[in-house]
Amino acid sequence: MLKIIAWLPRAVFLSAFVISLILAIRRRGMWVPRFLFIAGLLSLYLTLPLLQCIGFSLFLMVLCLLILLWLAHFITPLPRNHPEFNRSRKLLWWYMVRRIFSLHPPAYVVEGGRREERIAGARFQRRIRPLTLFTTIVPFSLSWLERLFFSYSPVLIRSDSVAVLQLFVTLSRLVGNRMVFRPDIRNRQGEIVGGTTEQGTTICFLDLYEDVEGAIDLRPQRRVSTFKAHSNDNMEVDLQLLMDISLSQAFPQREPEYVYTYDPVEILRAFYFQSPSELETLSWDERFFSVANAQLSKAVLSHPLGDIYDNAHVGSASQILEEDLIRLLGETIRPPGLIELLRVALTRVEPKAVEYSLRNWEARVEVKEKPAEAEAEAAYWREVSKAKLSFFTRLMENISEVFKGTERKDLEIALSMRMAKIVEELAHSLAEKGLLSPEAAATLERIGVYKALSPGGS
Amino acid sequence: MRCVLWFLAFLFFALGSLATVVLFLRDFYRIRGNRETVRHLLSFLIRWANNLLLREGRITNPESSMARVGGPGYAVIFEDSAAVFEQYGRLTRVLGPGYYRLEPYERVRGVVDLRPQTRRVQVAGFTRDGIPVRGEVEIEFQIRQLTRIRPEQGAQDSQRFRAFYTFSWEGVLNAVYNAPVRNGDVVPPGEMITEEVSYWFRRIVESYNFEELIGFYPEESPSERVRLAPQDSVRLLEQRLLCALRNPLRRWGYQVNRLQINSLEASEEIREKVKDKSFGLWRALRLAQLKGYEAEAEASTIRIKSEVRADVEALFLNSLIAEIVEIEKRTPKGLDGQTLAAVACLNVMESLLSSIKEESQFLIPSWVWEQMDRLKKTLALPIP
Repeated sequence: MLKIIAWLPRAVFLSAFVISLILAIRRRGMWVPRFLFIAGLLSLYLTLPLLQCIGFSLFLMVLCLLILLWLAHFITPLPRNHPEFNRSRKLLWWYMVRRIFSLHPPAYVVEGGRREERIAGARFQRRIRPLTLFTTIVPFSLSWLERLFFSYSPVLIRSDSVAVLQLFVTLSRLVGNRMVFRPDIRNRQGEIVGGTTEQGTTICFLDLYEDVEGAIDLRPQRRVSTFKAHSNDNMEVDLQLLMDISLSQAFPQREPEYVYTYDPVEILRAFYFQSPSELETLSWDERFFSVANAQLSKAVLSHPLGDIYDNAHVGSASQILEEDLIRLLGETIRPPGLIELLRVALTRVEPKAVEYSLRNWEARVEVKEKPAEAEAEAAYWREVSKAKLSFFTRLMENISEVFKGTERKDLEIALSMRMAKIVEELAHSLAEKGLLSPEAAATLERIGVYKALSPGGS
Repeated sequence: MRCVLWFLAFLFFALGSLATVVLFLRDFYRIRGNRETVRHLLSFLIRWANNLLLREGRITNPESSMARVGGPGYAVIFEDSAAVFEQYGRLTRVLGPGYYRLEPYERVRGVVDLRPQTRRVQVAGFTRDGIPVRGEVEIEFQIRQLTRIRPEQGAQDSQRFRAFYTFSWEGVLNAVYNAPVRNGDVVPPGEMITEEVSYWFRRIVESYNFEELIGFYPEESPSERVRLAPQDSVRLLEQRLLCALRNPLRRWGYQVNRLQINSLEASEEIREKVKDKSFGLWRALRLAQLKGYEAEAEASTIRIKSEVRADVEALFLNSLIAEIVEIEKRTPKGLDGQTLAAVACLNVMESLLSSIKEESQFLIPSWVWEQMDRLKKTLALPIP
């Protein structure tokens, strides 16, 4: 019985050991190493007496920390000769140690102009942190303790971005692969007067109360929009504005290994150029683009439609508007970075204006069409008239033959009757077209004797 | 038993440390899968051979550890791709097809497709005279190529032809680093070039009048056999478009292999009107010929008929005169020939007027009818 009682704690620990192993295998995330460490401690307890167990546990813990330090050497994303390498290695090691005990701050990656929290800060850390603010008012300093447990968040920075770090409320660092810039003095307008630069890094660690306030994308930013504008003569047009804006210049000759070179002052200007709107913060390029949109509307408003559409303009509409927009932007605002590409295109105009232009074209075509038609008709009638003339010539010849030796009085009578006949034929043709009553038509039929006496008659 | 447990304790602590690092790597670099992360960690320690495949202008497994973290490992670049590599945020190499060893943290910054790509772009624009036109442009583009120089011609190593697709490293760098970003995503080259083609088409078309491109009409009639100009203008448009696109595309590392305008026409809303008008002009230019044939036919007909009619007219008048003379002889004091003619005229006019009266009686004034009745009385004709 006593033996069983003596073995009871060991049995409990054995079962805990087995459960820890099962959980380590089945669970995901940081509970895997934690359960492995627990299982290791339990196995020591099962093999050694308590004092030895504590000693060996300490030994294994130190060993574990050394293994972590050794592995941190490999996972530090910096070249060995970088001045920050050893510090970064130690801080990564410390971060992993804190993560085992769930005391770690968040870890960030700045990529593609975005800050992403890759490892969320521990729950304990989030809850306890506000309390640490009291250390600023207590008489003795606990900042080393705070710094040890609540700072050194790793921030990985990719080559296409720059991280803007802020300490409390003021800007502390601009960290990029090419350089780290620390501003010294700022004037009342918020412009940086001086600063120091250090060698750039791919990973940095946040100081106490320092945070990644934002990230700036160094790649060319493209913005496209289609919007309506009105010309000077109140005609509505649709325009498309495409703009590539960049804060950096790719491939400078001086440092070919760093592709994106940038001026930290421009980065800061871009950062402070961002503005909060109703729903979300407008990025610097978005804000600049909206300014450009407004200026383009003004540029259109300064021109009558004829300047940018239809044949009144000398250059192309795009060219005119692009030049105007660049001028207006220069007068209005100095954007951070530079405009790499500017494309303005007229995509739609008032349908009535298009109709008018089309009619204009039709009229130009008619300048060719109508005379050609008239000429063809004239040639036709010329030819037919010639034939008719030949008929009349022959007719007159025949009549003159008939009238030879005829008295003038008889000739006049005959001509009068011929005229009467012509009138009758006219009436007959009206009847054929249904313009006469049936009775009148019948009368005419009775009168009409000689129908075949006119050219073209049957 | 004790030794085993002791060993297990050591093992668990070592595994715990490894697991901590693996989990950190996995979460920090967002690598898919623990196994992949373990393999990557082992590649740091024992040079475990991780592979990264680059094919068809992209990374085949973009969530792999090699893609996220970088080397050490091997990059296998297929014949159709080239890639730019960075290490610690610095540009290291531009590599074409082959099998390469990557240094620690040397990762792919961007991959480009070396194959020629074709896009059909639906374009639209306004001509100088404001007529909307639309068309389809087919463009074939490719990463800027090297001139293929044979080794015996003194080419440098970098310029030697090794694979089917060549590339210039400046082209690849420009394609990777100068590619613009829209809403956080890199604009694909096809889309970028499509936008550029649309813009330049619109801009170049603005310098042409509509009739120079589509609503063309020959200056002379078809019988003159003038060579049709639209073919030339479209060819010219193609050339101008090609020249205009050369520089912008070079900026992004691409070259245009081929560009053709598949179709060019008036835009949909005005197409029918343009067709009608074009047909009208086409018809007008050919109308002279048609009317010439018609006139010839008509004249021939008139000539044939006129001979008969002239004879018949003469015969009629001849007979009429003979009849009038006969009447005058028979009734020297009664109804003479002039009266006869007047009666005939009166009769015709009366029937005409009465028919018109029925159609529109208010249009004929009453005095006309009174005059007609007076005439009839004078000639002793019955009044209805």
